[in-house]
Amino acid sequence: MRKWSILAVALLTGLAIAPRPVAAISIGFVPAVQTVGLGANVSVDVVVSGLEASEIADIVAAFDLDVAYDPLVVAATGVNFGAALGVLGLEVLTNFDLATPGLVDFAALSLLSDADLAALQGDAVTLATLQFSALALGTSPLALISAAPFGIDVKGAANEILSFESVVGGAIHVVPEPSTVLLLTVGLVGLARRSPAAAEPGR
Amino acid sequence: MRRPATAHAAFLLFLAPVPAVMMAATCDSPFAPVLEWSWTASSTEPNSLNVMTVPSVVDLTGDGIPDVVFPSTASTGGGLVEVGVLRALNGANGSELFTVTDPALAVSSTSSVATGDIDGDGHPEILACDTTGARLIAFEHDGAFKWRSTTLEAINWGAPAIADLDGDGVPEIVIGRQVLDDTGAILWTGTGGRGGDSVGPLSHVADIDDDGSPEVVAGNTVYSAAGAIEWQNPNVPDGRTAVADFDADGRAEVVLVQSGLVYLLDDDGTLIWGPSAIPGGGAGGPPTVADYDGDGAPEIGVAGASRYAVFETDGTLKWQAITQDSSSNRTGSSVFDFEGDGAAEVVYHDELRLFIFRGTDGVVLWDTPSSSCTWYEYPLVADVDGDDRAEIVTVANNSCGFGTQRGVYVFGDSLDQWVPTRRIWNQHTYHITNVAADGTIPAIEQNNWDVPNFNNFRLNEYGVFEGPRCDLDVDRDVDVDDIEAIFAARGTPAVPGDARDYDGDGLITVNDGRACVLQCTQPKCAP
Repeated sequence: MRKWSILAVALLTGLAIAPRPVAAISIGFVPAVQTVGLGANVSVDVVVSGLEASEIADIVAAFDLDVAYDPLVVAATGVNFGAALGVLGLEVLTNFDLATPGLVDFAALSLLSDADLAALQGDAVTLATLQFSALALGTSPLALISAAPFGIDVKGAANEILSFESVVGGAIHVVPEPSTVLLLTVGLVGLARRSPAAAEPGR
Repeated sequence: MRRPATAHAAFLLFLAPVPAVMMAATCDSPFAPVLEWSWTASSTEPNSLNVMTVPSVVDLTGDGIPDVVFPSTASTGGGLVEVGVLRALNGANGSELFTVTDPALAVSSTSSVATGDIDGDGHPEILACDTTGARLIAFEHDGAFKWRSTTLEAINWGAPAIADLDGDGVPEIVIGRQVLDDTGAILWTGTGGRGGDSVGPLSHVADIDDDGSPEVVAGNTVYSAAGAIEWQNPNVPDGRTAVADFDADGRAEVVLVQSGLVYLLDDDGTLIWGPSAIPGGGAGGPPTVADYDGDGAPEIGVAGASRYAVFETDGTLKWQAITQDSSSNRTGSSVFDFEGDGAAEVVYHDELRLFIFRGTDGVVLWDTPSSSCTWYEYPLVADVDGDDRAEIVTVANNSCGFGTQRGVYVFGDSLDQWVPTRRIWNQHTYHITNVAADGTIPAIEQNNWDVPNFNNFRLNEYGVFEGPRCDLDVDRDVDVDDIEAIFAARGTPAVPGDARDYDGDGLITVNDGRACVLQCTQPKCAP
């Protein structure tokens, strides 16, 4: 364990003083696309992956992100933070804001050292799980907003901003509930059965 | 207020008091520095141990502890340019951070480096003179090559100064009468003085006429920020300078030293007094301005060939101390009130020894062997190890055979009672307000002479407690309380000087929070 800790510190020290290699790190939503019934609750993870894609693994040490969605289709109801940046309440500070319709603002700041985070994290890190409720039929895209000054603001080792090779959006399709579909089907069938008689002239 | 010019004959100056105790070092004072660390050997470029410039003290690594940056050489010569390597040490203990060993990036070890964040990346860059003696190389904070300028006017022993001349938030680099942008491109070349003599220029930046636009002070010439000559006094030579407000008019006068003579010029170039001769002769080094005697007025300290001399505000000689500097006779000095008792001390290094003189009369309070062939160097005072106590940082070389010491030496108080000071000294023409604690260069520099208890040049602030930058609640710990204060304000604009805005980008972000997490004094930022 000590050997691995020393190795992690050495690697992170190297990261701090060496040019950052280009890694295939990506950020996106898991699952990327979901179909839910009207009125249902739905969760989607925001995930950084590919941290171990390069020879020198990177970490996620902090982030401050905004996710845009269609407030006419879904409503954000909560944010749950994972344990990848440390034990909630002890080793990581978190905060989110849902006050602006169509926007989820969420951030976390780990109090752990880079070496501790390297030992804690793997190739993929779930930053947070966003929760929505489906309001109306339709499709809400999910998009990470790139904002000044840092763009998609995720900090890696030595507080260097992570550079993402791909930023993948997501979507939530809201469709009628199954019971609604069943009732609708029954209703349509009923209508269909009544229709010929109703259509007969003189009756 | 203007003063009439006054001539001062050298023979009269020799009548100024020379404390008898200076003939033999005295140790009856409780002033008792001890060597805290030294750098005298290296496994990298092991022969390159001679150091002869003013080091730069700045936090390169972002860990809250300063580092010491300087060139060193294996040469034992005393030339205008001595080929060497750029080195950086951890200020806490002198351990090596890096040495730039690429021969293509060799530097001149006779030119002092300057450090400052010239590209706004949150890390200080390092500016050094290359082996041609006429080009600047910029290095990243980790020693990586950044850029090299085209051939400039001769630098040799001269040194760059970093300042934001146009106030746009991107610093410029001043070297002699030339100004470069942050990429090393020449912005302008002046047509007057350069701020030195044949061995090299030491120009600097100050808004001496208090018109809101900084000037470049280069010897007998003052240039506008755009390079026009605002004034040049043809009746005085080019030379080494310092600025301070000697007549309490809110504008700065220029102290000029050349050919063993000292002059004071008003902010419009008019001669106020001088020449005053440096007793014992010699060219005279870069002047230091400080309140040597605690009378509330600035005095001037200048080193010559065989005396360190202090001149009163009106140019009369206050005291002189016997020294030995027949080689360059162009060394500098610094002043600090180590004990915080209102009485300043002078730190000075000649060919043989490091001295501490009593500021009021030049009595030797302490000295120790420390050899140098002497160039433009001087000992500086900074909190180099981040312990909230001042230390003396000095350099030594065995060049020209004056002694055996080589390397970098850091002295602290044996009782650990010296007052705190800043953790930075970024360039030869350092004057406190020219650089922020983190190595950023202010877009608009506050006039040093406007700050209460300053009005000085080439010295550091007395008694300032400069704990870790992230210690928002000033409890001498960077902990979760400080981090929470930053995190709670994420996304909000910073106010000027906002301690929560670590990177100084005007916005409080998780970047600031994480930067401070990396400086926490306990694991997991425990309180």
